[in-house]
Parts: sequence; structure tokens; C-alpha cells
Amino acid sequence: MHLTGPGSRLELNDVDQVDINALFDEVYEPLYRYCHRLTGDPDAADDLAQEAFVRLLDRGPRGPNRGLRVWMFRVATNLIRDAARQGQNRRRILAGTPQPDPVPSAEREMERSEEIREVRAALDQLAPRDREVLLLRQEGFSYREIAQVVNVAPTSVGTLLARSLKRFASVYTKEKQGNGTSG
Amino acid sequence: MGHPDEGMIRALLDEEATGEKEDARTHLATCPRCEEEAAEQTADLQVLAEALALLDTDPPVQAARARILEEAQARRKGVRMIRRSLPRAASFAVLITAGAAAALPGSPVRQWLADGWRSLGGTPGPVATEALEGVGEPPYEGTVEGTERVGATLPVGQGGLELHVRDLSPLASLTILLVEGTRAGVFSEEGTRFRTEDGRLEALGPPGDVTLEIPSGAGPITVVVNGEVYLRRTAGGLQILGPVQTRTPAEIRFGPSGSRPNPPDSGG
Repeated sequence: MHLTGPGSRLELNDVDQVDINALFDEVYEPLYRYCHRLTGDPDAADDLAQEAFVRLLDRGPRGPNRGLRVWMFRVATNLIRDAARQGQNRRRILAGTPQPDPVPSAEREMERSEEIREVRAALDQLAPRDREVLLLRQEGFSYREIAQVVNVAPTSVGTLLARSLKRFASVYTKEKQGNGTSG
Repeated sequence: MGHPDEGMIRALLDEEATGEKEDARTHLATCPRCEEEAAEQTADLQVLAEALALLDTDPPVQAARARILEEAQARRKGVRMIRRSLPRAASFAVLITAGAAAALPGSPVRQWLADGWRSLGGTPGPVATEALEGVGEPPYEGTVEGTERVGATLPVGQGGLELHVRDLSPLASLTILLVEGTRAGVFSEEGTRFRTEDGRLEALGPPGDVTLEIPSGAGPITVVVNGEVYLRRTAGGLQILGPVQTRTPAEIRFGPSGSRPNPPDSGG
């Protein structure tokens, strides 16, 4: 879904002009999902998504042509990078937290935990920027928007995506076959 | 043309190609090697999408919406309700490092920093605050980890600000910190109620010690504790009228409100 493109219900350009409730409807869930996929921690994802909103309220972009969604994803991305850099919650970021299964079956729960571990292990073997571009693309970001969030040239996004996609598929397949090097 | 690189093929598949995209598209449709690369990328994308879906959980939409809307409403009135994890003074450094927003209700980044807070000696436990009915801003209600203080801040305008602490326990102390910026604040333990109106910020019934923050560069400020003026800052200087216990350039600590007040002291 491209919020700032055709079909968007909001013109996400200026924080002063935006109904926060409507902005929440558009951005919170994708932002939470993005943060959760990056960190593996649902609590951290919630906090990071909320922090992006709080920072938007405090010092979000003003004036025309300021994409709020891109700005908020960039805030969250930088927070995650900073936390990883500082070593805080490193275990959370790298290992993630297996999620509880709504089905109270021990066998199914173990199976699901293993599936999650495999995905996280594969993601963890990517460079942070590669993870970010993959996840942003999954959230429907355009190449230009991805470039703005992760601070790369728009012309390099296609190559970054192609290589990180290939890398992910390769290591994920190995993880599923039990030949992974991590975990 | 030669074979487009993997990035160009990705861009073509994503309909993001620029430049020689028509040539590349034509090539892709006729070159088995590039067609195979495109098929592999399409399959890899499917693998990624299915794998990522395994990670997803339902976000706490309702709670997050409530907190964010509360934040937005508070900002429109210039008030920030704040909760801070302050197991001890050193945790100020954590909050400063994380930026002021990290201290806000619902705290964005609060859980993110929880490990750091705990490492400073905090004791996890549920915390809730309560609001006076019909006045001021409702403080954030919820539970978070860490030993926390709750508080409210308000910008000090040209006309100045009165900070009132009511029903402070006779055994409790009160500390005034000089801080940067333009916002004054009052902080205490959970259960404290807050009330704001133009030029006035009140903390009612704090169960424990109270900390006030006074911006060094803002307008006139008066601090009133249980009806007594403890401090008055005007353009003419600083008057300290409460029972001072200790004093440094950045901090004034008052003893329990039941203690004998010092003689009025003036200073800068």
C-alpha cells in the first residue's frame, strides 16, 4: 500500500495538517510490523512505533512535500540501528523472542517456535541495511521511499533488493534444512 | 543490449525501472537466462513473504492508539504527562541519552530501555496514575516495568508559572532542579494527581518525595508547597523562602515540610 501515492486516503505531508487518528490508522500497523520483524520483540515494536508518533508530534516534518510515513519509518529504523549499535537489547535483535502460539498445543508450539527461529536466523545473517530494504519493500515502499529511509541512492535499491532477497532465500533454505550456521 | 543486471531485473519486476527499461523489458522477454533470473527472484520473493508472515503478531492497536491520541491532545494544550523510571539518580543519564521523548507516557522506547533501567537497580512492578476529574490532562494510565515516577510539565510563558504542591507529606522532601529548556515540571510517585491551568501547574497528594524542574532561561516562577511560598524567581533574582536542607548551583533540596524553615535567603 502506497500511502503517499494514488489511492492513499491521506496526504501525509505535513504533521500540522494531519488528523493523528487517521494517521494512526494508516501507519501504526505497518510500522509495528516492520519493527517487530526487525527486532523480533513485540514490546519493542510497540514502543518503537509509538516513539515514532511521539517524535512526529514533537518535531515531525513541517511544510509541503514531507512524507510523514517515510519520516516515521526512518525514525524507527534509526532507533533500531542505534540500539543495536549500543549493544542494548542485542540479544533481542539478533535472537528474537519466539511468539506464543494461540493454539495451546505443545507440539504445534514447538513447531512454530522452530519456524520463527529459522526465519529470524536467516534475517540475522543479512546486513542490517539489507534487512531494512527487504522489509520496507514488503510494506509497499517505493524505491525512492526506501532510499530515503535507509539513506542510499534510489538507483541502488533494485540491486540491494535483488541481492538481499537472494541471500535471504539461500540462508533460509539452509536453516530449514538444518544446515544453518546460526541459532 | 547485454543482459540487464539483477538490480535492473528486480526493478523491472517491481515496475520501478528507469532509464533503458523498455530495452531491458524486451530483452527479459526474449532471453532465457534473464527470464530464469526473473523467475528465481519471483520465487525468492514468495519465500520471503511467507517466511515474514510467520513472524507477525497482532499489534496492540487499541492501547497504542489511546496513548498516541492522548499525547496529541496533551501537546495541543502544551502539557506533557510524563512517567520516568527513576530507580536512582543515575537513571537520569539514561533518559537524557534516550532523549526527552523517551520519558513520555506510553513511552516509546521505555521498554526498549527497560534493560538499561533494570541494570540501574530498578524494581519492576506495575504502576498506574490517576487523574482529577474534569481538570487538566488525564495522565497516562497503564502498567509498565520499572520503578517509575510520574509527572507533568508545562512551558513557562512570558507571564510566568506557579508550581503548586499540595498535601505533601510532612515527612517528604522536595527538590528543585535547574534544567535547560523552557518547560517546568513536577514529578513524584504514582498516585500523584496533576492539575493544570493557564500559568499554573499543581501536583496533589504526592505519596512521596517531590522533584520540581525549573528551566533556567524561562520567565518568572513561584513554587508553593502546602500553601507556603518556597521559592520565587523574578527578573530581580531568586528568593528562597522554604526550609533549605542543601543547595548547589543546580539543585535546591528542601527538608520535610514540617521542619523549621530557614530565614529567607536571597541569591542568584
